[in-house]
Amino acid sequence: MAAPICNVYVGAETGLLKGIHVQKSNWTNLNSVENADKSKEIVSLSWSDDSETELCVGLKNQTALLCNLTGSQNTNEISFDAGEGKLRNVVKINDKYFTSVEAGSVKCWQGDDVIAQWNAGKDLFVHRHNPKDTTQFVTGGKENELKLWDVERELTPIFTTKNVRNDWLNLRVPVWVTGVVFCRDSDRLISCTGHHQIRVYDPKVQRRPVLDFEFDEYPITALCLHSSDDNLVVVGNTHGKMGTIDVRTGKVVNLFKGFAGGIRDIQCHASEPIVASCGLDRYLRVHDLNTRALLHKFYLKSRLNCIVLSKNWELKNIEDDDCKLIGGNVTVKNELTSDGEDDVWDQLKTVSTKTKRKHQTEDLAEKKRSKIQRKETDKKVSDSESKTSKKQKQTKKKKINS
Amino acid sequence: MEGPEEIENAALSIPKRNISSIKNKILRNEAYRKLKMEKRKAQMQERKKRKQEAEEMGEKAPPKKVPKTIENMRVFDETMVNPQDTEVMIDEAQDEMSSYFNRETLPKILITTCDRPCSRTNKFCKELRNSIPNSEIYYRRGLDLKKIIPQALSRDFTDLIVINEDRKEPNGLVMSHLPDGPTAHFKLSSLRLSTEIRRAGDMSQHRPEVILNNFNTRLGHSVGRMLASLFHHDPQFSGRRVVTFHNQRDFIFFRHHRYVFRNSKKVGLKELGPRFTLKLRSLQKGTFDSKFGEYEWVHKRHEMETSRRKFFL
Repeated sequence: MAAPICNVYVGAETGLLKGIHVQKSNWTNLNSVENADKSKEIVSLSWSDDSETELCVGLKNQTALLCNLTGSQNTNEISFDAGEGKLRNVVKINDKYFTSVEAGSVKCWQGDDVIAQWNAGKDLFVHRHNPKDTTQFVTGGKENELKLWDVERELTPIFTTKNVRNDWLNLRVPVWVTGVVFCRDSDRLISCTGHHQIRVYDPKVQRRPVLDFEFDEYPITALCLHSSDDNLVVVGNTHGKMGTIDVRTGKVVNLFKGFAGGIRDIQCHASEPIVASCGLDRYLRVHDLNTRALLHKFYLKSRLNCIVLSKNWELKNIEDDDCKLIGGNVTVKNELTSDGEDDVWDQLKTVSTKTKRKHQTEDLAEKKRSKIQRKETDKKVSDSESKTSKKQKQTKKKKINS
Repeated sequence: MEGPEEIENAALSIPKRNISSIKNKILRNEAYRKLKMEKRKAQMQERKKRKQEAEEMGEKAPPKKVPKTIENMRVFDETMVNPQDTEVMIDEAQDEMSSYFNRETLPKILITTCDRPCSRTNKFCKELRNSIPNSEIYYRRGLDLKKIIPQALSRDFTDLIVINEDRKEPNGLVMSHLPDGPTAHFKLSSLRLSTEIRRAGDMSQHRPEVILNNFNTRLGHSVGRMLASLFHHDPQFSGRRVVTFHNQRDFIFFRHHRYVFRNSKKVGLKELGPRFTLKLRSLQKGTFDSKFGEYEWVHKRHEMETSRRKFFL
């Protein structure tokens, strides 16, 4: 049985992996619905390699599922003894597995053996590898500063951030890292926090954030780099507010609409101007990054945790959209150029339908008839009037004479 | 030139004088009365005729027209739950309220208010305690809800209800299911206490039956399950007490009745307890945490209210 072709994969709280073909607007559960179990909640989703044939699915109960999406749809299950607490992330990099748990231990596995182990601190929320240089990864959490680690060095991180200065009441600002992304063209890190801040770190400059600003007033739960612009990030919070933010100024560029519940994950497509988001309202939404229009939405029946997009998006409606856009421009131009009233009337004529034309012609014929009649009657009237006027004149003359 | 027939036609085609153009008030009133009577007569005749036709045609008669209402013209909602849907069933079987529906826990409810409640709120709380079995009222004493929750947990409470007020009038209800959510925030309106209801009956101590109407979407299901889990599994039918949560256009009407069997055919209702209306503002995952909690659904007024015929519950 061939695997269904999908371009978006979504992991749900019930442990179901959902494959969605966005253009055809259909979706399927890739694992059986009967075995859905909340203890097997999907917590992380990632591609095993760049060819995008295998998905690495992390489950809450410290197991990883490797779903082969080509041809034979077989899944391998690997269970890890990753440590205490809920699993946070599983990543497969060159036949090695990196696991992280809530209690803070990050482990590197080769086969069944632990090669390396890091202690990233309590209440871990984030564990993410650098897409440019996979030997680097970053961790952070609640009261757990952002740390950049090297795979080779186990004991100390390469770079540890420092909390921002005390606030204007000289009180310590709490730390709660909920998401990190690596910039594509620099070493910068962008993080979001549970205290609705967005921070930009530059390891080359200082340990404190280079930039620090706020978005809305609820914890930010999802963060993703804009697909084309490195200075823009897309963020989403627990209240269902998602927007793109300019990292240079801290200003909101776009706000996306249509959310009813908290957002759990956001992914921007690598090449297309498209952003997919999912969350507690059980909807997968696909927005256009530039126009912020809601392109697709899918009700997927379970609370959704994470998304993965495939590189080949195959947008068929690109041409149609372009045509529409061009058409819109043309009409606008027409409106701009048509200053005289005559042009407007000309346009109206072309628009009218056949039935209307019939009606119009009938009307015209009637009008002509009535005109002719009117002319005839007018003539008569004018004749009679002229006669009467002559008479009146005569009488007047008579009066004058008398 | 013109024939007499044409003139007659022209006379017919002239519309009747508009009544409002009559200047004399008495005449105008008289004319209006006449017009109204004529209209009514025509209507009655039409109705009679239709009835007769329907009787003559017997079974072949065209079906009675159903009036269009906002509810039956409801905008299609894809989250409407199909009872055969295994995914939703499994999801619900494992949710936070599942322990109640598996009969593992007995409901025990803590009712409290905002700080310094006024007398009306207190009265309402007492009536709520009488209508929900196994519930207790605690004075808030200025405690934070986040501090109350662990205390309530240690005393085996399964639900927490908080009544909020504004200008001495109860206007909000927060309902939190323990131990791990969800939390619903309702707007409370049109409250009538049993003392304000005409000929209200006296409440008995029996466990009531619960009726939940029209909770059909996925969100409605979760809210309905929350409301159902406030009451004991097994009602005492001898008490003939019924508590109704009726959802209509997203407003949840709470009514409390006792039914009486007048004779073998007739059943009468006696309204008992408080009467109020709830409207869902938000549903939050986890116990009460308005700052850091994750919301499953938030009512966003201008963004969501696109159509009068769109409902969420």
